[in-house]
Amino acid sequence: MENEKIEASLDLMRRLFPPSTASNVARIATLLDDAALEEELLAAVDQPLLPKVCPLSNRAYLACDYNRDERSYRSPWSNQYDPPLADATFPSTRLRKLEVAANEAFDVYRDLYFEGGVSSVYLWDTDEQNVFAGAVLIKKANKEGTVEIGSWDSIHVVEVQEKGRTAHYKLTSTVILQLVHGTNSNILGELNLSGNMTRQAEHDLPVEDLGSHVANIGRIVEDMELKMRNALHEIYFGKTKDIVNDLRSVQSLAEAKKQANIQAELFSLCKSMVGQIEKY
Amino acid sequence: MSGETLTTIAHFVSETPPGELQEVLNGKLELSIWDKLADFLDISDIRVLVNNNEDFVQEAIAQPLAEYSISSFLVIETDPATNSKIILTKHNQLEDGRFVDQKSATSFAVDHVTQTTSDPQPHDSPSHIEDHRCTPKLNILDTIDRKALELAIASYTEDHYPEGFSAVYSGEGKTLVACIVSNKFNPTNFWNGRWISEWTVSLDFDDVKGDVRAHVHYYEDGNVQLKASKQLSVKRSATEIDPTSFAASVVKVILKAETDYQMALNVTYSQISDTTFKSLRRALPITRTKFDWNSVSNYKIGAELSNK
Repeated sequence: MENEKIEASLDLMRRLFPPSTASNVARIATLLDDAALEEELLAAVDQPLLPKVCPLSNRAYLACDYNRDERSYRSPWSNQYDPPLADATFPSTRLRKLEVAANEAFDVYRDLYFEGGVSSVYLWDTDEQNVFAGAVLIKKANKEGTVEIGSWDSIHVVEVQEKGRTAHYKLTSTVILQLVHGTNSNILGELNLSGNMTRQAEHDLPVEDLGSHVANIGRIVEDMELKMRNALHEIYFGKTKDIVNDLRSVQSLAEAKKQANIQAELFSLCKSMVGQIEKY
Repeated sequence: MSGETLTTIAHFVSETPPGELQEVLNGKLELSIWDKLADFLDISDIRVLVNNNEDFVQEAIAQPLAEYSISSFLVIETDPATNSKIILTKHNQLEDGRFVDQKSATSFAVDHVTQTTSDPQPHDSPSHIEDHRCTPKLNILDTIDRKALELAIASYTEDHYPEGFSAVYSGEGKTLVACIVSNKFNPTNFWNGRWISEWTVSLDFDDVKGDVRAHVHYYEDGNVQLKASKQLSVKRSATEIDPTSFAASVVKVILKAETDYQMALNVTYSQISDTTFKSLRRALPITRTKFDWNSVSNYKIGAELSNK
């Protein structure tokens, strides 16, 4: 029964208008009227990341469910919660070291691929032995006020099972891509092309020391982002465009049919001529 | 059931993508049933629900569904024997909620939950719609026939909308409203789409005003939606002397305006792909090589972690 409700909620979220994700999650939460289910829903639905500025380091970071404790968010740069929180949860010393390294590495990665934006990496210990988890987050939004508004949110959640000299990485990646064009004043009118896509991948990779995890996670995230960028490009600019042109045909359908008939006639004519020539 | 719940349900119905009403209703009902309606409902099938609790339908579902039918230009069968259909729009809705089919001069009761019609009754449209006398401004015209425009729009729809359906209804004042809807539902391949065109044609002046909108939902491994819309305003040639050439002059400008819009939309797709999409994330760094994770782990991270 409980699962049914979450399943129904997630199915609903897969159908409702993606730009309204945040408000629709809030609406569903009201219907659920159950704190535990609401937590489960918030953990299961990927929402656009919220950029914040760390008051201690003055650096931008991303707020989401993965660095939230009650109503405070932990900065990956200072490791402090804002607003400050007593009895807050922190990663273990070992994981925090890895987290610092991963944040530095993905900051460079983000700059190379996104040429701007904000990135944050959060790591946390799990209840299972030798298993830790993390989230690699990147957000890039172009300037508001321009004709074309766009934003990209990468949410990579990775579960790492350490097995001595190797590790098993389970990656679940979601990209939220929103593209909004223009106003009614131009020829195109209003266009909103928005949504999200989720993919998964698993890898077993060698581990020399703790630092290997950064490179391993880095490579699988880089591969995944490239694959997803291609897939998003295909769906956003290929698939949805094809469907629009399936709904309405620029060319006259009668004309198209006529041309197809002429081609078929020509083809059979050529065929019979070739057949006759071959006879001689 | 609280007013807030009703508003929430109405909102979800209004956001339903083309062809996915049943899925949204079932999902939403599963959500609301157990907590909100457990007292008197223990079923998740909307159709059974209708028979079991008319109050619930009246209160929670009927109004948002009627609005959804109208905003999505729902095409509904009126007579299976003749395969007759009507489009539900605000233009052919009567005050009591029934809908008129001007083609057959009949009105119907509509069940928006089961999407069926019943209780056909003869319905005569006001005479000015069928046989409209023009003002002296365009005095070349004697009568304008709604039927002539309906035929011309139907033939245009057939020629440009593979799955299109159209109707022409009388609008407010001395206007005719041409309504076109084209749906393609392909849930097995995780996509659905709808195109709606609504053209208001003034009978006294040469104004032809359009509201064109497309909604596409692609949901394999995700949820991607396109919503595109445009208000169009064009002028028809006003020298036509008979209903047929009047209708032809209207269709001529609609054809051009819609085709121009569709081509602009296709061009914009390429523009967004070339500019906005690329500016968000590059396919490869400017060096055209992948990120060197080795150097990162060897230098920066190695140094950082060996200090422990």
